[in-house]
Amino acid sequence: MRIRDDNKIQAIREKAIDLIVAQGFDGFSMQKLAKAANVSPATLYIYYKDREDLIMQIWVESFKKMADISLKNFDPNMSFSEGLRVQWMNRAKYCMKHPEQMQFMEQLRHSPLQVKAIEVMGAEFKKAMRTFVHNAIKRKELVKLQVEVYWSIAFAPLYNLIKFHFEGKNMGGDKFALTEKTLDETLKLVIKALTP
Amino acid sequence: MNWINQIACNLINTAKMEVLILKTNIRYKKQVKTVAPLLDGRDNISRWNIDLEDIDKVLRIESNDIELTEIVQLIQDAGFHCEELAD
Repeated sequence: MRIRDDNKIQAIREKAIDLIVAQGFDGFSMQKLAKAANVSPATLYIYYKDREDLIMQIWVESFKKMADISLKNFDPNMSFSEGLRVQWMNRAKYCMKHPEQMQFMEQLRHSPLQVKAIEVMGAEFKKAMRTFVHNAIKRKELVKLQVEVYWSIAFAPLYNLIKFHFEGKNMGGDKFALTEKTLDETLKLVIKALTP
Repeated sequence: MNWINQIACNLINTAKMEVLILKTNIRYKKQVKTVAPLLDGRDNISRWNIDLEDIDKVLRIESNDIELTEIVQLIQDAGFHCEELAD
């Protein structure tokens, strides 16, 4: 009887993310991962049904980590500006700490597996975000918007700055590094735009 | 909290459950369909799948108390090659 080895799973997971981030989903296979992670293909199959199962399980783990970090010190009943600030700082922290996971999740978002990924997205996280928005609208701290418009104003600027940060340069090729001051200034403008 | 419970359940299940990993020459969905009734009909097999994308066409079986040789025989009787995928 084979025993589940959590350290081994962790190593497999990290190697899988590295491979996918470096080479994309197309060339990614169980055989390739086994070789890279220095385990036998049989070992991979102990933990995962197939390639898709492996990718989805890693996605779920990454999402959980993101959700956990993002919900730290966050309360859906916070004022809109305070709550959004906590969200920004937490999400930025997650991205800085786990850039490879962020990149992996981003890649998955643009792959055919995206639909499945949305299905298994954590209910707790979704509920916290929804409650936060509803509360803020009720208190007239936030304009009522189509959800896509809300997200594009509330979070897309953050992710775009993070993207520039990891690329080390902006759209014109000039050097760029994200600082807390830049985050704060941008956040102020975002809140200004979303305040009724 | 839900996912914590889920992981706990998974851990308990994997502790009791044995996973058998076999190499086969089952290459097509149609062939999977011919072995499906043989595997579905067994009480001691809780889940199985064949990864057709993989070069070893891995048959993965989650079971309680089933002998590897029994599975090998079962698949061979259906006309396919089947052996344990070594570590």
